[in-house]
Amino acid sequence: MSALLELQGLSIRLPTPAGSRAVVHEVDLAVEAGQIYGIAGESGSGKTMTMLSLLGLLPRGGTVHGRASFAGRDILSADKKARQALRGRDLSMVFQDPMTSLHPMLTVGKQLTEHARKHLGLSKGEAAARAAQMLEDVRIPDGEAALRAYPHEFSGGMRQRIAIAIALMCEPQILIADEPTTALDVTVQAGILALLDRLRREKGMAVVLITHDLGVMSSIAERISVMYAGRVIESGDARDVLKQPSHPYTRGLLGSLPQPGLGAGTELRSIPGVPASPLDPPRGCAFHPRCALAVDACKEGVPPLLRRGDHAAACIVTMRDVASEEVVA
Amino acid sequence: MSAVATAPALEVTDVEVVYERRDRDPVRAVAGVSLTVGRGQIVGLVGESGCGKSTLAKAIVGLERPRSGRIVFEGRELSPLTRRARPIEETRLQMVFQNPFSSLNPRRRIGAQLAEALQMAWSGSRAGGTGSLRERVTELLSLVGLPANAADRFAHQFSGGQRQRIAIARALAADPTVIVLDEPLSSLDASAQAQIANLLVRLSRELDLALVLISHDLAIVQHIVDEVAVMYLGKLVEQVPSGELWELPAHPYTEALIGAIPRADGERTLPVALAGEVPDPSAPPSGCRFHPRCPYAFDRCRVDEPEQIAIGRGREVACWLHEPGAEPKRPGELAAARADA
Ligand SMILES: Nc1ncnc2c1ncn2[C@@H]1O[C@H](COP(=O)(O)OP(=O)(O)OP(=O)(O)O)[C@@H](O)[C@H]1O
Ligand SMILES: Nc1ncnc2c1ncn2[C@@H]1O[C@H](COP(=O)(O)OP(=O)(O)O)[C@@H](O)[C@H]1O
Ligand code: SF4
Ligand code: SF4
Ligand SMILES: [Mg+2]
Ligand SMILES: [Mg+2]
Repeated sequence: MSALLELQGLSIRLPTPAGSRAVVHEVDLAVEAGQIYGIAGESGSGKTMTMLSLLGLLPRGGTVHGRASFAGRDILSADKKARQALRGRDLSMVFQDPMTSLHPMLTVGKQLTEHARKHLGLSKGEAAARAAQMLEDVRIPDGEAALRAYPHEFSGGMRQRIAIAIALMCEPQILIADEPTTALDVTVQAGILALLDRLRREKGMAVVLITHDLGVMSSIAERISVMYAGRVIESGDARDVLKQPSHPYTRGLLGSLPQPGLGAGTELRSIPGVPASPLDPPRGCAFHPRCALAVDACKEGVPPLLRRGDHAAACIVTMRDVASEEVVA
Repeated sequence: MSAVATAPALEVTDVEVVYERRDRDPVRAVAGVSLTVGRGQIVGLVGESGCGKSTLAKAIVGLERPRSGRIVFEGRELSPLTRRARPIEETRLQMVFQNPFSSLNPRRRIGAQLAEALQMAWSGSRAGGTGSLRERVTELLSLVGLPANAADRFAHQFSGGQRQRIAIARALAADPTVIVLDEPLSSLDASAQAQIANLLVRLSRELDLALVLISHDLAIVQHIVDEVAVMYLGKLVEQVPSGELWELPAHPYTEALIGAIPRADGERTLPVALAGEVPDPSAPPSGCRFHPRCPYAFDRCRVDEPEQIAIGRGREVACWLHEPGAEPKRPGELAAARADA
């Protein structure tokens, strides 16, 4: 067991007007080299905070507990300098809002080449050539001219693709991509997914793909974790999780997908109720107010992740058969 | 009055928007688009990232000045202004922006932000509406399915889906007859998407509200809209009632859009990316703009630009494969017939 990126019992607290609150609880995750690992879950479920904590980028006053290692090295206790070195080079992140990773006053070319020159020691010309190629890979037309342009001259989706190009410039060992294709239409999205898959195959790049789009997840992820209210509530092989979802929340998400071809005006199914606030989750299983299978015991304790083979789900009802074994063991 | 009362909610005719740029060629982001939205009708606008959807939306609500063309709202031609305040009748044309998170003020309570939107809409006309400000805020919140106490909270205390509801509530404050929504669903998970989609349909029916829904998610769009307009590189290439879209896409680009939707079936199959380069809107390809990427392109496509023509019942398509007035057919079928002929 030597995962490239490994999180163990990672928890995050953030300051709120009502005092410090836990927003991410005991997340375990192991991403192998050359693996695409999907993290799914409702907006606000803690996906972004989990990844920001690895880079030391939590909002001011946020704290992280537990363990995280990259290539065997502890990253949470690493000092700022070591972390920055890691971030520019081996571990790279695409942020959900591309404007946070793009500098509005610098040309796209400058932003693409700066890191590459520093970290890879490329000459100006080499870096520019590589940057133009990168822009082509993310399907920005007329790369040469785009290098001289500023971020505001591009559409929302094009900015997102430029941010992806910047993240890939230094050939990172792992790319953490937060909703990288959410702003893109399906044909461009298909191109980006193919690019990520190619880099995985050819360069052994690992990807942590955060997305709420289960179709995107299904098309390239090998493993999946689903988060709800700050916890991983289901994880396993992507095929198992999508074909035989075990947690009622995952089942609800899959059931909410529009059925192609089912005509206009038909009411779409959705999970009743509103998402739990991770700042103030319901007692016991945070999903219980929305769950059709809930029993009294669901309100008592937080259900542990119960395993059936290597497929785990935090539900005492659907995983009842393994729940008893777990207690015995 | 009568002419105005029977006019469509929104009529866009030959609108063209050009961005001038320093030391680079100008971009014709919208290259002549015509679109009619009936009262209470929901029209979906779909297309590739960068094809000009947001630009068209901004032109419609007056945030970009079209170089040419007309935008007629409820029978009145819109004053082509940018940045200046619009006359009060035009506040009944509202927009919800691509990123609602950044358009909500993080430091002010939701109630205060909605009250401000109400006051802005009331100032000058319709003398204050009915009821107190506080009551109207509660009413707006309940319209979008949020509890009254949401007014006392801040944006970060809500989930993405709830924030989207707040952005919609704020647009509703002006008592609009048309709302243009730019990607209102894309940041939401499947369940929240379904809820907002259902909400939009309900609001449209209850308030006789016309909606222009920009989205790249055809699967969900075809569920909730009456008609879909497909845009490619600044132009509309197909307009089709949403019921017929899935069975019978007439334009090769529409067909590609449907084919590229990833399925959540756990099979790990990459969706099909469109072949070819993404074209540069400042130098669009000759002839049919889609020809460098079209699997069915033939000689004429490289030279002549196809105009939109009427096919079937109430459909339009801009593609040389189709004959005016003919029944809609799949592009593959027509291309095969051409090859045989
Ligand atoms: N302020 C600007 N200056 C110059 N060019 C611009 C500007 N805004 C947009 N463009 C260009 O206009 C074209 C259309 O952009 P627009 O934002 O309308 O696309 P979109 O269809 O909304 O895309 P997305 O789905 O990615 O949001 C793009 O080629 C973009 O680069
Ligand atoms: N700057 C912040 N200050 C306080 N709480 C925050 C901040 N940013 C996010 N949160 C809260 O942390 C939780 C997890 O957020 P996030 O990781 O962004 O979710 P996701 O990426 O899954 O949508 C949410 O409850 C959110 O409201
Ligand atoms: S533990 Fe109970 S409430 Fe939670 S998902 Fe399972 S059945 Fe539903
Ligand atoms: S006109 Fe020709 S190139 Fe254009 S979409 Fe039709 S077949 Fe393809
Ligand atoms: Mg996020
Ligand atoms: Mg846009």
